[in-house]
Amino acid sequence: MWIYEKKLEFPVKIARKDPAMAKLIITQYGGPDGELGASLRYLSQRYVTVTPEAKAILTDIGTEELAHFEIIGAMVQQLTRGCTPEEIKAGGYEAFYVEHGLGIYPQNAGGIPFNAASIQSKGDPITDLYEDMGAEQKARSTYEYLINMIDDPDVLEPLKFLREREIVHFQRFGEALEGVRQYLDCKHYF
Amino acid sequence: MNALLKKLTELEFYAVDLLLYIDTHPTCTHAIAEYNKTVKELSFVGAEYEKNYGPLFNFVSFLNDEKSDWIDQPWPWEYEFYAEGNN
Repeated sequence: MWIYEKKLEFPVKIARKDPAMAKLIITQYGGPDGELGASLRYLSQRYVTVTPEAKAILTDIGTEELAHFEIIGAMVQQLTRGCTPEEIKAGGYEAFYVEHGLGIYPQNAGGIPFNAASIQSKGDPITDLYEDMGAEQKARSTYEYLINMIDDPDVLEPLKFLREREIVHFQRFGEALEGVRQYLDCKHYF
Repeated sequence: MNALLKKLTELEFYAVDLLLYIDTHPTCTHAIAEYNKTVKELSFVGAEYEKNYGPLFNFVSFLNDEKSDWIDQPWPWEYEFYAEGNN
């Protein structure tokens, strides 16, 4: 069960339209290292993990990623709201526009739709947590590349927040991995 | 962004970050005390926010008896949600 809270985890209030930026940022909506994939990955991996700590962290980070998915959606929406055909063309947003109008669609910056092939749920608690730590680093790198492309503070602030969350998640997954490792290393007899 | 929403956002972020920490440090009594204190304050600020701006949660928050106020106010992805004088 999930409950929706009618607010964002971090405020998004972008005064200036910029479809060219939206075209890049959408990769964190539906790209291979984006928030949708992150959420699906962690929430799908929960079922076979072994320690209470790992079950909790996959659930809670998986939930937080949905809030990040919403932040990115809000950013793309505000960067493209009310764009005229001229603005869409000037921002190089026309390929997206002819498929989705001003809607929001999960894809990467190059237009490739979201694909679950970019995530894994391997049925092995150690393997999965290593994947999760790698995923957090990949997302952090993507946020840094995005930040390098941006100078509007309205756009920068939420991206900096999201980048920092990747670092915290990486740390928490590392701790969960250590716990799983210890659990699997001890002998289980009855 | 109004002061109430700002406070709510700050407190809730603190609660999120603390809970992730507690997930992997379940015996850290300092973090648990801090979390419980934050959630308590959050419930007061949340109630105050709902009094002014309507329900925060689907399936959980009470609705106005006369007409549903869940559909009132801009939604959080809309620019207007954070515009001055609004939410």
